[in-house]
Amino acid sequence: MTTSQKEEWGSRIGVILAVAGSAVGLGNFLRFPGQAAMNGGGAFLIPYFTALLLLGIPIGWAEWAMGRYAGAKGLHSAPGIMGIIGRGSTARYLGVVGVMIPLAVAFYYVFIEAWTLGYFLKYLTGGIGIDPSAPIAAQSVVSTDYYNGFTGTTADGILFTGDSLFTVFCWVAAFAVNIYLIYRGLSKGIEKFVTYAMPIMAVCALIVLIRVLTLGTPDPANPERNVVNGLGYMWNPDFSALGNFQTWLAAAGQIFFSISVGFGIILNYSSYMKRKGDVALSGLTAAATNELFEVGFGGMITLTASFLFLGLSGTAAAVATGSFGLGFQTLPIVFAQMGPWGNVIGAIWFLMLFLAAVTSSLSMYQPAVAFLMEALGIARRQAVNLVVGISVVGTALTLWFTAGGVFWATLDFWVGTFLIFVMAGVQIIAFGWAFGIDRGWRELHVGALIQLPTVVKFVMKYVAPVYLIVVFVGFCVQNLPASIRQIGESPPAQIALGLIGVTLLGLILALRIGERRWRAAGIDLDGRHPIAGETD
Amino acid sequence: MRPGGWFTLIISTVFVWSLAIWCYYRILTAAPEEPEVTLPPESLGG
Repeated sequence: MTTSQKEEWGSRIGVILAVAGSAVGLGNFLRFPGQAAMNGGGAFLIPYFTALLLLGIPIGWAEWAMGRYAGAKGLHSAPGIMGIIGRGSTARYLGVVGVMIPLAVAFYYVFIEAWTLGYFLKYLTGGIGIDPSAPIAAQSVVSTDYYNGFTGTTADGILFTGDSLFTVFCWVAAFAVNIYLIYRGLSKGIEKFVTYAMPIMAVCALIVLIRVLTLGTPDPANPERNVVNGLGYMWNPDFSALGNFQTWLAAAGQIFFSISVGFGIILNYSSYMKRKGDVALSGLTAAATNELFEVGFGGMITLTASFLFLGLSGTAAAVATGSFGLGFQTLPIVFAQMGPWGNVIGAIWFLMLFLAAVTSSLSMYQPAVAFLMEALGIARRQAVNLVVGISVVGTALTLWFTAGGVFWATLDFWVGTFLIFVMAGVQIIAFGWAFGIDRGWRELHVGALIQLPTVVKFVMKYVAPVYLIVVFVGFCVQNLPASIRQIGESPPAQIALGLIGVTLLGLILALRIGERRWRAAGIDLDGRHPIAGETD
Repeated sequence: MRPGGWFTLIISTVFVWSLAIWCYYRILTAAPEEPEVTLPPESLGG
């Protein structure tokens, strides 16, 4: 066993940017506008902000408070934290999900991160070969072919042959960046990186936004394709959509996955805060930063740019292809129409996406590193080596089983969606009911820079759990049958599920070891005693 | 764009920008955190 120095954030703003960086990802720029356009346009923002206020921010606050509380008792991983908050081994073992989610999501997320790096490098060196003078249909073929070749979506194993090795190179580079920063540690690695990356992302987003909003009417032959109509495509409200449960489900889902609650990441990050470090305003600021990138930038750039060059039908078709179709197949066509500045804007856009992806993926490795350190009593370097080993296996499978994206879509559904609902439910119920809402409320206000309205307490205890359960049931009814059917029919989906099972088993075994160590070290791992200065 | 589109665009954008500016103003003008010495439990990582 080794003793390691306690890690801590270097500054108040550092932890906020780290959590915000974790939240701001590809979904802010690619998924949000598509979801809004398909679910009532501007009217979508009503259920969206409702979910933000009743679900996202309250659960986030609970995570911040729980993490800081358990961190003061010496535990920094989701199982350790949940055991303290939930007062026993049931919550502790459910907390394993909070290590599993970020680790398994990283298996495929860094692969997608590699796409952004690859596209950035291509735009830096002349683009992906789209001829803007060709008919749009022909440009679409070039863009789709490049995407299919780069992501290996046409066949398994294709990325390890011929030209596709560029993809593998990009993955190695992206993975190396992550691991280097994780090796450096919390303050010198993650915090330092996000302190530079977040402002750079904001500047990149601002440059692209200004460019898009000043394009006017780029094609005089199609005067209806102008900036105002492009904004209208996304923002014109269709209030009839509010009567559709699907709209409310989509809005809650977008909020939920966008602000990174339920991942186990905020729990881990906040556990390194000072005992009297603010969590109330910090949690709100991290959420506000995410919303700025999502609504302020994502809601203004992506579909507007597409509308200007591809018109109504082209943009509707792009939205129907989903986030990745929009980001990696449609936008390259848009950049090609921007003339000599197209490659520059494309490079800035994909650099921004790459930075957004790195700040997110960094946060996915850290919880597993912290868990292995404190469960097995190993040093950070050894824990990182273990995480690298596990990730290489997980990602190698992702890189091999690329056909149709079934493998990583299975991971995304079961770990990156289903289990997040479970983990968020465990957290908000543990906070409001096991830990106790009155105690949780006091904890939330220790060192707080703002006083929260009392109604938030009611929301955290009753509204958020009920809201979450309703959304979860709706999600299951809508998606589970097809996903279960796919597992029965697709060997890659079965392998993905097997990978999830093996990873979960390994983490549970590590927790068994950790429990023995924590008890031996005299840690109050069942949260039986209040911490110094706390009135129970 | 219809008036309803302008309305939702302006309200939403003003909301997210105002919230972010207010939050960062409060964070950046708050008193600095007091240094804190905490001893970690022996033989634990993290």
